[in-house]
Amino acid sequence: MGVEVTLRRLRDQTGDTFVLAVVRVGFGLLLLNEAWLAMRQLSDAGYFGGYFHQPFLPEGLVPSAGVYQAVLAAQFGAAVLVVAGRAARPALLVAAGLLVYTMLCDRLSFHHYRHTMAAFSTLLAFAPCDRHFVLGRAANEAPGPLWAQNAIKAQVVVMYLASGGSKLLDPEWRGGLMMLGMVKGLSPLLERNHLPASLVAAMQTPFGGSLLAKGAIGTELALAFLLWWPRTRKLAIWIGLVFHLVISQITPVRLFTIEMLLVYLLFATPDAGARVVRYDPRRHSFVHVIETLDWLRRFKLAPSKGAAFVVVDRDGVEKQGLRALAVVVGALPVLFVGWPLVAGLAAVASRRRG
Amino acid sequence: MLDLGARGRALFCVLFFGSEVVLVATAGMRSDRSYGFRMFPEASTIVVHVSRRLDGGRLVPIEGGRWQAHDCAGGVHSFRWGEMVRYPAPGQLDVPVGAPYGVESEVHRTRDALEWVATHTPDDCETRALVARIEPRKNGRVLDPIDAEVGHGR
Repeated sequence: MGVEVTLRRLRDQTGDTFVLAVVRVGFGLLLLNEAWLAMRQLSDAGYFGGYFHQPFLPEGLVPSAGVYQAVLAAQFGAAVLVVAGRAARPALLVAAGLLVYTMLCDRLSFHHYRHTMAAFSTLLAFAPCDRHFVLGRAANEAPGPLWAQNAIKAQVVVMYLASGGSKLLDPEWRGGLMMLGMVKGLSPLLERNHLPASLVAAMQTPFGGSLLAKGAIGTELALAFLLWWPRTRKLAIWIGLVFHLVISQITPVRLFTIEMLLVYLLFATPDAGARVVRYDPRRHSFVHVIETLDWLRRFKLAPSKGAAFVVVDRDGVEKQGLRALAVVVGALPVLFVGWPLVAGLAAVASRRRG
Repeated sequence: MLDLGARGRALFCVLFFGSEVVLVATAGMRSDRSYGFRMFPEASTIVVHVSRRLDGGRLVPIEGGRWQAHDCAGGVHSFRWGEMVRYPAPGQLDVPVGAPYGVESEVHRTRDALEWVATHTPDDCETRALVARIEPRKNGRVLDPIDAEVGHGR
């Protein structure tokens, strides 16, 4: 009964669609980058059918050089439409379809990030992600159905379970052998990314490899559940953010990281304007920073001459000083990585005062 | 068409996630484990040595990724492995190449690459077969070498 009620709620939920538009623009840019990378490969290495390729499809369904150029042009056009917001949802489906088609034409072009991009783009096509940031059209503020947004979040769970589960079932992975080999192979990249040499050396010990492996498996499996529970969601988003940032520092998978961080925005509670910032416009000029970084439109600004700087949280509690800063940092995506630190300092400060 | 009703939403999710579950469950049946979200499956490498089997069964190793052979009319032609087989397939011979999707995937790629080269070098009238010795190293462990032979497809 509980499961059925939850599924119905996820299916019928409606809400603010602004974040979906932010994510659409992000994926549009990624799709544009993908089309550009494919065009660059075509001009540098030539048509992939002219050298060894490994089609999943029968060779007859692999495009000729001329048709492949048309496919790339269509990919490029679809990506532009996604960014512009015009016919963005059908364009997302077209872009995802072409991405999958090109991967099926040559298994060598398969990458997890491309598969992930196609999956998220398909689901995003069914979400009302075209109500904001549409070229030449005013925003539509009406609430929209969020079932596809929930499906994207479910997709994240599928990915974490599949990835973490497969690692858990592989004795060499969970034992740390794979991590050890990977860190050894990537040590030049780690050093280029300014990781301390002592840390890189520690990661290359059997204990370090085992610890990293168990940490990665535990994190992936835990995130699959913690991201869904309201009480743990915020902390899980932070853990996931750090997890993906660390992966992007130690491996060459930046595009996958960007995809995951984009869909993480969809886990934020859709509560546009639920927090209020009261401030004196003459004294508190830093509020412009909040305004600029408030990509999820979570704050209402209430300027008032002579007012003290106060943040009214979404539960109605007024906060000042470090506690106000913790609310701000916890709600702005670009500052969110610092949230536990600021929230911790705020908690310590208020305990001392209390 | 993309704004689905209640039944459409449920049906779509069943189809989409049902397909995903099938893809995840069957990933082990594909050499590259593709479409199964098995991120970073191995830290492995392979070394591929390729030789040409000539008339009489004599084996001549391909050195530096290049070889020369006569066509059936007697003309001499040069061939370069790396022009026909490119990254992420094993485009370099006799040196370790990464196997990011695992040893099994890279061995599969090598076999298919061998076949592709054998069928796309019609000007090589000398080679009877291409023979590969693949030396895999899985997560740092040296595995037994794997041999593969593909008849020339003239």
